[in-house]
Amino acid sequence: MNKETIQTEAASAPSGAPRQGFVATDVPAAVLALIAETGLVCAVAINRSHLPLALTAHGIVVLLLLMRAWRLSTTQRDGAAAMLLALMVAIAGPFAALGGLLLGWMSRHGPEDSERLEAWYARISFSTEVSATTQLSDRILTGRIADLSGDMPSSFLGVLANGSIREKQVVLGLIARRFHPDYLPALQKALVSEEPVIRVQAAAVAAKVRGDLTERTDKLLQAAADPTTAVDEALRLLSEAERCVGSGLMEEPDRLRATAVIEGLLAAAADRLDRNPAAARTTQIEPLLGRYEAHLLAQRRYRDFRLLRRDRAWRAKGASRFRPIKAADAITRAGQEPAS
Amino acid sequence: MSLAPVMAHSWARTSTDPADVCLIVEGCYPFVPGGVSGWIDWLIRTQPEFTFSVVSLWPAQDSTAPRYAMPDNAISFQALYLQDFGGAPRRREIIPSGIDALSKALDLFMRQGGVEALGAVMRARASLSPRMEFGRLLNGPAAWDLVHGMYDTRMSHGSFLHYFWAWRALLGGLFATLEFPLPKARVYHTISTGYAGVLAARAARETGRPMLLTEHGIYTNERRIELLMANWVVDTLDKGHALDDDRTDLRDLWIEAFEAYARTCYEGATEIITLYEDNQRVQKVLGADPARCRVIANGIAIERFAGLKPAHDDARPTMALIGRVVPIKDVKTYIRSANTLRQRVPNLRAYILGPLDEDPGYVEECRALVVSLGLGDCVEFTGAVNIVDYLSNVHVVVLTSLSESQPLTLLEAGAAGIPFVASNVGSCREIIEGPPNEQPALGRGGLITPVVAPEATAAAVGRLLADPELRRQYGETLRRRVAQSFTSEQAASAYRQLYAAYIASD
Repeated sequence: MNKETIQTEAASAPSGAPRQGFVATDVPAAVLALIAETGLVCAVAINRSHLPLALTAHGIVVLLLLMRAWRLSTTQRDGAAAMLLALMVAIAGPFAALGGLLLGWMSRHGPEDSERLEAWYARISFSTEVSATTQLSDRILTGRIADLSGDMPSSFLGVLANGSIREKQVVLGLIARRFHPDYLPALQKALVSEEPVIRVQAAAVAAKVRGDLTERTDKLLQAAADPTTAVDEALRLLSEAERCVGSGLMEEPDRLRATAVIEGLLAAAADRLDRNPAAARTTQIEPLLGRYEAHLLAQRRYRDFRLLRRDRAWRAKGASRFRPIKAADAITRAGQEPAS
Repeated sequence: MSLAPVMAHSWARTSTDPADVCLIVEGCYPFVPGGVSGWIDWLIRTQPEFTFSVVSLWPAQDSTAPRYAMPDNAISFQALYLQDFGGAPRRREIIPSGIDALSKALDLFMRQGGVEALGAVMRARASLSPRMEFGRLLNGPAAWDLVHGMYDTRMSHGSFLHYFWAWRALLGGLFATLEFPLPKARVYHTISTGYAGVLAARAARETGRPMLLTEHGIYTNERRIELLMANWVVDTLDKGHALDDDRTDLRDLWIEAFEAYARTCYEGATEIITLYEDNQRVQKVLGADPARCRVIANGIAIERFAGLKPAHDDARPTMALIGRVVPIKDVKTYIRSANTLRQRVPNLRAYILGPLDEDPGYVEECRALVVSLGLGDCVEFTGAVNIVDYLSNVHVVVLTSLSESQPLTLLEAGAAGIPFVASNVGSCREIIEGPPNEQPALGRGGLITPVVAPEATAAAVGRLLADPELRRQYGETLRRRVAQSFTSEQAASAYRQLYAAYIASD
C-alpha cells in the first residue's frame, strides 16, 4: 500500500517517545566511582585502621556523585542515571559502580532506537507518515459517503426523456429499490418508452412496486386510523394515497384499501369540523375540506356536497345573520313608535 | 414438444465419443419445462442426423428432476454445478508464486472480458508454481492473496467483508466454468451468454472448433435488470440519486462481470444468432460483431393446429392466456383486464392455460385477486393442458407478459387462426403487425397493447369480441404469416444447414 505524507500540527511528546540524551548509566562517573571505591576497599583490607578515613572518603565520593546528578538536572539534561548511580554506590560501593557500567553496556543503543527516533523526528517536523491501516480506514470512511463534489442529481423524468439507456436503467433500478409514490410519473413514462429494453425493465419494476404499494397501504391505514394524526400529516397521507390509487399499479384489494384511507381521512376531517367549527376558519384544514368537496363531486354525491358547502359557509360566517340597522333609522323608528 | 416428467436416471447417458454438437445451456434444460428448454428439446429432436452432448449449468446439486426425456440422438449429458465448487476448505497449503499476476488477469477479465483476457487468466493459472487448480485456489490460503489483490485494485474504498462474499460468488461460478472438463465436439453451441457463454468461448479457444450462440432473450440485459432491482445486493456506498458517481460498488461488480462474460462470448462466437432483429441492436451495443449476427426465427409444427376451427360467433365470449402462471407473464394484468371487460361482456370467460407448479405463491396471489374481484365464474385456471383441446373455444388469445423473446403461444394461436392481443414486448409487434420488409405485406394479425395496461388490454379484446369480421380477418392474416415465416421446418432447416456447414469444415 502506498504511503502518503500529510501535514499535521506539532504534537507534544507522548510517553513512549524516545528522549534525546537519555543514557542508562553515567559512564564517566561510574568509572571514577569504581576506581575510588575499589581503592578505598583495598585500603581497608590492608589496614583496618583506615576504616574511618575510608568511610569519610566514601561519603565524599557519594556526595560528589549527588552533586553531579543535581548539576545535570539543572542544565536540562537527564540526571536520573547519575542519581541512581550515587544511591547505588552509597549502598554497595564499588560493586554498584561496576553494576552501573554493566547496565550501561547492556542498554547501549541498537538499530531499533534509530527507527523510533526517525518516526519521532518525522512527527515533530510538521509531517507524519500515515500507516497503511489508517489509510485504509480513511479510504473506507470517506469512500462510502455521498460525493458532494459531483453534479446535482437529475430529475428522473428528465433522465427518462433525454438520458442514455444505461442512465434510464439506473433510474428504474433506483425506483425499484427506493420506491416512493413521487416516482410513479417517471415509472409510467418508462412503461410507454419507445425503447423496448426500458419498457421491459419498467414493467418488471411496476410488478415489484405493486408489492411496495401493498406495504405502503398498510402503513397508510395504520397512520390514518391513529386519532392523534395531525392535520398536516393527514394531508400528506391523503396526497400519498391518491397518488398510489391514481398510478393504476395497485392491486385491486390494495386500491380498495387505499380508497378507504382516503374516505377515512376525509370523513375524519368532516368530523373534526363538526366537533370544532372554528377549525373551518383555520388554514390547516381548509385544503382537506376543499379536497373533500372535490371528492364528493367526483363521486356525484351532489346532495352531500351542497350540505357540506352550506355547512362550511354557516360555520365560517355564523349560522344566522342580522341585518345591521343604521343608527338614524333606529332613532326615527323609536320616535315614531308610541311608548309602551 | 415433450413435456412429460421423466426419471433423472434416464439422463445418466455418457459417451466419450465426440458429439457433432455440444449444447451448453444455463438454468433451463432439462430441469425447467417450457420456454427455452422446450426449444432445446425441439432443436435436438429435429436434427436426428447429428449427435448431441449436453452440458447443463445449474446452481447446485439438488433433487430437481429432468422434465424432458433424453432424445435418442443425445449421446451424453453432464451437469456443471456453479455453486458446489472447490471442495472442503484447506487451511495448510503452499501459496504458489504468481498469484499477483493471476489476480491482475482476473481483474482485467472481470472488468473487460474478451477471449484474450480469458487466455491471460488461463495462462496465469498455468504458470503458478507449484501448479494449482482453480478449486484449490478458491478454498485454500492462496484465496486470501487473490481476493486481497483484487480488492485493492478494484474496491478498496468499500467494505471488504461484502466484497469478499460477492467475489466468492462470482469467482466460484467462473472457476467452476474454467475448470470444467470440456466434452469433445465438432461444434459448440451455447444458448446464452453468462457462464454458459464463458464455457463456450473457452471451448472455442481451446479446441479451435466453431462456436455458435443463440440468444432468445438478452441474458446480460436480464441480469442487469435483475441486479439493478435486487435488494440482496448491498449498497455499500452512499451514491444517493447521483447517476454520474463512478465509484465501484458491489452492484457494479456484478453487472460488469456479466457484461464482461457477454463480450467474451460474443468475441469467441463464430455465429451470433437471435430470434428477431430488435434483439440484434442490443447485442451490438453489448459488443457483438455485426458481421457475425444473424436472425433465425422460431417455428412451430403448424400441422398440429391446421384442422382447428375458430370459435363460433355465438359461443360464449372467451379469451385465453397461454403460459406458465409466473410473475413475468403478468397474469394479474390479464385478470384485471378480465374484470374491466366483464362490465361490457357479462358472460365473458377468461382461461388461464398453463402450469401452476412453478411459482405456487404467485398462483395463490392470482387466485386471491380473482376472488377479490368476484371473477370466480369468469376466470378459470386449467393447469397444464393440451391447448389444442381448448383453442376451438377461444375467440382471442391474450399475452400480457412483461418480457418475451418470440412467444410460441403467439405462433400457435396464429397457426390456429385466432387473433392475438399482446403486450409490446419481444417480437410480438413484428409477428402481429408484420416485419417492415414483409413481401407481400399481409397486414395486422391482432392488436398490440402497452405493458401493465389492463384497461388497454380489455379495450383491445373487447374490440375483437365485438367484431366477428375483424376477428376472422386478423386470425386469417396471422395464420398466413405463421405459415409463411414461422414453421418448425424452416427453423430446423436453418440450423441443419448451419451445423452441416461447420461440421463439414472439420
